Amino acid sequence: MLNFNTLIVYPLVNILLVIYDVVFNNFGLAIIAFTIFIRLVTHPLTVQQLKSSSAMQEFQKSKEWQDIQKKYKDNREKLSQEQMRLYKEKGINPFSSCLPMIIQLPVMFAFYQAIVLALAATPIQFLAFVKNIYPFINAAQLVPLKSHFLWMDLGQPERLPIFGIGVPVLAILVVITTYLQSKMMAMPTSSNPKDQSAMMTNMMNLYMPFFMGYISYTLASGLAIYFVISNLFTIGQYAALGKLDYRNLIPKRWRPAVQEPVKSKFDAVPAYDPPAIETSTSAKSSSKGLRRITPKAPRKKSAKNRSK
Amino acid sequence: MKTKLLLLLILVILLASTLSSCSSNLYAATSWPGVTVHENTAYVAYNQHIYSINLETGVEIKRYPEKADRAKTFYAAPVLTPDGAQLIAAGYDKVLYSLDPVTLEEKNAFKGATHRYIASPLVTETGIYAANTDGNLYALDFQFQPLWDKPFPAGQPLWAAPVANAECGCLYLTSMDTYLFAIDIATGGEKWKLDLGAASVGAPAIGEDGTLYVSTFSEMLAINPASREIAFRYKTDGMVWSGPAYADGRLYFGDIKGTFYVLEASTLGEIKKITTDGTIVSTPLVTPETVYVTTQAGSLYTFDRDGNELRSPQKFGIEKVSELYAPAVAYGNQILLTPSGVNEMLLYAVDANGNQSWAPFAPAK
Repeated sequence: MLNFNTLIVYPLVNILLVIYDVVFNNFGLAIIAFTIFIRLVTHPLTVQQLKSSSAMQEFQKSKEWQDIQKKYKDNREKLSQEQMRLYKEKGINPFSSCLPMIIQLPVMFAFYQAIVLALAATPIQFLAFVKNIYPFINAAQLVPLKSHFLWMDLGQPERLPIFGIGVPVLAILVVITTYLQSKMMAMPTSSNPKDQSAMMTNMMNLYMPFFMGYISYTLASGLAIYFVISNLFTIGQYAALGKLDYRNLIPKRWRPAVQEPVKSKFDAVPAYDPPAIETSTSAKSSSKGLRRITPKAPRKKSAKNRSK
Repeated sequence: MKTKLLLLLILVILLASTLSSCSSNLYAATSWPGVTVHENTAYVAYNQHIYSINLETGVEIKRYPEKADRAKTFYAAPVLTPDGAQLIAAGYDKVLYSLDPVTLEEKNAFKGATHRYIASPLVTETGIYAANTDGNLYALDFQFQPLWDKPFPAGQPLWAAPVANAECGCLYLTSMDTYLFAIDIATGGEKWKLDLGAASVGAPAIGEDGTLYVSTFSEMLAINPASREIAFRYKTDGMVWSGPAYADGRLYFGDIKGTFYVLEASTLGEIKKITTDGTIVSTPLVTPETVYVTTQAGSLYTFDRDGNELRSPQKFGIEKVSELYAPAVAYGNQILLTPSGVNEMLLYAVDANGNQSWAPFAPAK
C-alpha cells in the first residue's frame, strides 16, 4: 500500500544504507553525507524560495507599499485588502516564498524518520527497518548499523564527559548554528516597534535555537548531527548566493546608520492610488464616522523615472 | 500582541515535546510479550507490567508494578530461579529485578547495566546471566552480587540470551557484531570466539553431539565447538531472527520473509521449506508430535515433525488483527499464545484441536 513511509521514508532509509556502505560502514559519516545529499537535492527549491523572498522584500521597500502602510495603519482589514490588490497588480504571489519550504518540510520530516528507523533500538523498530530494505542491498552484511561515531552513540542523546560532567556539545552547537543561521539570514525588518510581523520574526529567531537545542538534547545524537550539518550547509548555501547579512550579528545600536528610505525597483512603477471609499463605523459615530477619501491625481513620475 | 507572543511560545514548546515523544513513545509497545510457565501460573511480561495469570481459569492473579510506571517496561520472558523462590525479570529501564513469584513484590534489583535488557536472563544452578544491549553480559549470584570480577564485554549490543553447556563449563553467546563467544562460566573469561559473518539475535541450539546451531541474518550455521569451525551452512531466504529449535536430529526455524524450514541437523540438508502468511520471529514450539509456528500475520501454523501441515492456520484476536511475534508456549496439552497488536487480548490458551480453553485474558486497566 502506498503511503508516506513507502513513498518517502523507506526510499530515504535505503539511500542512507547505500551511503553507509560507501563510507566504510560509518553511520556518522553516512548521516553527514546524507544531509549534504538531501540539501543538494532540495537546493533548487531553496533558490526559488530565496528569489521569492527577495522579491517580496524588495516590494515591501517600495514607496507605494510604505504609503498604504501609513494610510491604512488604523484599518487592518482595509490594509490587507490593499496589500492583496497590490500583490495582484505586481504579479507577486505572497505565498510563493513559503511554497518551497512547504515542499521541503515533508522531506525533512521523512529524513528525521529515516534516521530514527535506521537507528532502531527495539525489536519492533528493527523489524520494521530490516523488512523495508530493498533486495539489491546486502542487508545481512550491513545491519545492525554501527552507531558509534567519535564519542557518540548515535542512537542516544549525546553527552561528552568533561571532568565527570556530561556536556551536550552537539546540542550547544545546534543552538549556536541555528542562531547564526537565523540571524544572518534574517530579512531586514521594520524599525516600527508596533510591526507585528517583525516582532514575531524576532521572537522566532530567539526561540528557534533553543527549540532546536532542546530537540537535540533529548533525541538521538544522529539527529543533532543532521541539524548541525544542515545549519552549516544552509549558511554556506546562502553565503554562496550572496544572501548572508553578517551585519545582523552586530547589535543594532553598534551598527552604522543606514540611509532611509531604500530605493526599491518597484518604485519605478507608477504608484497605486486607492479609489475613494466610504467607511462607516458604528451608528453612534454619525457624520464623524464617515470619512470621504478622495482619489488623488496620479502621482507624477520622478525625474529619474521619466528619463527611462 | 503579548497574547500572540505567548501563544507562539506555547506552540514552540508543544512542538518540541511532540517531536521528542515521537521517537520515544513510552506507551507504544516496542517488542512482543515474553511468557514463562511454572506449574499452573503463566508469567507474562508486556509493556508496563508483568502479569501472573492462573492457567486453569485465565484470571489475573497479580501484576508488577501495581500501577503503571512510565519508567518501567518489560518484554523479556521472566525466569524462575531453580528453587522457585525468585522470578527474575529484565526491564527496558536497565534494571534486573528479583520478584516474589507469588506476590510479584520486588525483592531485589541490579542496576549495573547502562542500557535496556531485550533478552531474557539465563538462570542456572550457578547463577543469573543477563545479556544487555550495552554490550555486556552480567553474571550475578542469587543475592544479586556479581559472580565475575567484571561483566563480559562483547562490544556490540546483545539481544540474545546466552546458552549454558555444562560439559564444557561455558556459556555460548551471540552478538550483533557477528561474533559467537564461548565464555568460561566460572570466571567470565573468553574461551574463544568465531566470526559468523553476519549479526545474530537468536540463542544458539546445542545438538546431542555438542554441535552448535546458530542463526544469523543470512544463514543457519552448524558449528563444531571443538575445532571452532563452521561445519555446515544453509542459506536462508530472509533474515533468521530467533535461534532454531533442535529435536531428534532436526532443526526447525523460520525467517522474516515467512519461510518455515525443517533441516537435517547433521548436514543442514533441507527436509521441508514452507511459505507461511507472515514474518516468523519466534523459535517454533516442538512437542513430541507437533511443531507450532506463529507468524506476524497473527496465524498459528501446526505441522507434524516432518513439516507437513496438520490443519489450516488459525487466527487469533478480535477481528483477527493481532500479530503473533511471541513463540507458542506449552502448558500440559494446551498451547499458550500471546498476541500483540491493536487489540487488548494478551493470552490465549488452545487445546490440540485449536479450541480455546477459556476466554482470552485481557489485562484490566
